[in-house]
Amino acid sequence: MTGKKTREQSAAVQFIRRFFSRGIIVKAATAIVLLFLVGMILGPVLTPYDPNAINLREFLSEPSWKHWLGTDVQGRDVMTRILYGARVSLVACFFACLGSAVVGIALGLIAAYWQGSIWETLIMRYVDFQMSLPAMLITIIAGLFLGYGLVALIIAMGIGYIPSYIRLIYSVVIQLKESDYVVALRLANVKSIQIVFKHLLLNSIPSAIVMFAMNLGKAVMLESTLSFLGIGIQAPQASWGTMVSDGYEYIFRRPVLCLAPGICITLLVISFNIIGDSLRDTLDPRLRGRI
Amino acid sequence: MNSLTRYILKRILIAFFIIVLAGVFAFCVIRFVPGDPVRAMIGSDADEAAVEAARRSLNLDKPLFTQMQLWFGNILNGNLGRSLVLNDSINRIFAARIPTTLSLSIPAFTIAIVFGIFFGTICATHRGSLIDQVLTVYIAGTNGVPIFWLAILLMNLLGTKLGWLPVIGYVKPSEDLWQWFLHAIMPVALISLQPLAAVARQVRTNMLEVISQDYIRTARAYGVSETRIKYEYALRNALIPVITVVGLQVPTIIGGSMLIEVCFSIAGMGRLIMTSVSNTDYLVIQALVLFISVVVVLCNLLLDIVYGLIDPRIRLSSGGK
Repeated sequence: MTGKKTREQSAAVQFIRRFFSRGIIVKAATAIVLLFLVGMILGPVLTPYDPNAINLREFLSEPSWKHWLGTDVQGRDVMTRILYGARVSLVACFFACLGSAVVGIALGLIAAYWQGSIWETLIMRYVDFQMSLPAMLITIIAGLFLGYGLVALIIAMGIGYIPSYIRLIYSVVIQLKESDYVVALRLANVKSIQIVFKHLLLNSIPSAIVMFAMNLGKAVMLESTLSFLGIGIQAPQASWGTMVSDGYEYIFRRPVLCLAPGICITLLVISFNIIGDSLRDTLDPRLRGRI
Repeated sequence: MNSLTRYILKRILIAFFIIVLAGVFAFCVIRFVPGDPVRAMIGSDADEAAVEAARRSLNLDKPLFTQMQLWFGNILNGNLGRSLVLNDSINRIFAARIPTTLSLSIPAFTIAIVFGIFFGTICATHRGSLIDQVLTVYIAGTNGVPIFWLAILLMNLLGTKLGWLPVIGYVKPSEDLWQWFLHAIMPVALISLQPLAAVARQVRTNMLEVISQDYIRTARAYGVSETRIKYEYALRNALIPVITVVGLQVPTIIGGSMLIEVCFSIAGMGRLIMTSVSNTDYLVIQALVLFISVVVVLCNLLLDIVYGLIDPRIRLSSGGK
């Protein structure tokens, strides 16, 4: 019992070591994501301001000790809005990716398990159909059905990422089905439903985790784009996308209004991408070139 | 039947199936969207009789199966219907906008493929060098920078501040080629940004994998020149899987034009999507969904066939029954 536990622990430690041994860039990316997470969680404690309180006496004020990044045209503290924007963005993207992962993994396993049946055809052709439309369009159309709001946005974005998991899990499981240990399980008379939904599921989880990290980056981008276009997070709630669209009129007077949220999006998305890449190389290098 | 014919037939069948699926989906949009889509289209101040008349003219009062027959019948006749919001035939609306979007997306697509392959090859053949590192950072950067934000910054820097390029709008190439070029530089560059990075990344990975294979080592042992090995033996094989990635870029390019046409206020298909969504113009939305899907599926069908033609392994493995 204890022996198994220490072995598991050392495997985790080894994994973390391998993950971070890939250089300074991975460490920096992880630090950036952690920084945003801390800012997001401690947002209300770190800043004394209300992100939506309009204070016209201090509109468009310069960055100062009082307002680190200045204030926007309605006198709202930009730093505060960045922190609250991180909150909305990360929560929405995390749950959208989580939901699509659950649905996508389930459908991918079903398609791979009942290979050759009508279910496989239907699921895989559905994937082809959805991949023939830009993810943004899928999300926008889903928004027509679901309306606007945080939960609707999460579901609408989640729908857009389902095919990526189906395709990945399907191809991984089809490949694993041929491997020796599956043959051994078959010979040991393990039911094939148990092989797929227990053994193959557990073995495809690493690939799914890699996909999850990659999709987080894409989702942050999609959410900010939708918010920028006015169909994502609705005003007055702070979101990096809406902050860019609110701020760009004043780009010459107060460039920080437009620059700060854009830089935050870039940093976060690149960090997620780097983490995804490193996870892939540590967890499953065979996925290189496929994700 | 030989394996190639079987492979192509199978691909065509799949493409047909996906298009039917897209048709059914588009059909469902207006029928199952919550609220009253017909009222939303002709305006909330219209009286009940007008709404009823519009509903009848759209065949929405008939049984669902008849509706679907009529909808597919119209589509097959090349009739996409009539927009109640813009009060014009959708065929005409599309015909006016498709050339605009094509004049931006085809150059963007070409640039993405040509430069993507070029950069990817250079990265792989000069692995670890300065140029590889610079391009890796570039690829990571373009995947992370929000396009709309970059568009705003470039518009303000190159357009408003420096006055080098026109900020918004569009000029048809048939009217004034030079003006079209000036107006197209920023949109085309921005649309091609992410597809270019995706292609370059894939070429780099494939090329590195191919270079490490035995037949390359054998060629080296035979004393074949390094240039010939890299650009003739390795690149050819490395480019085959890139076809799949190129196919995946078609929706990305369409998504990119949606955003860029809005940013630069260019009246193309991309902006049509956004305006129809904000106008709740469901008839245009359903026609657009079908249209985009057909375009992407046909592009992918073409690429699949090319794939099968140049790589016999593909048609043998997935040609099946």
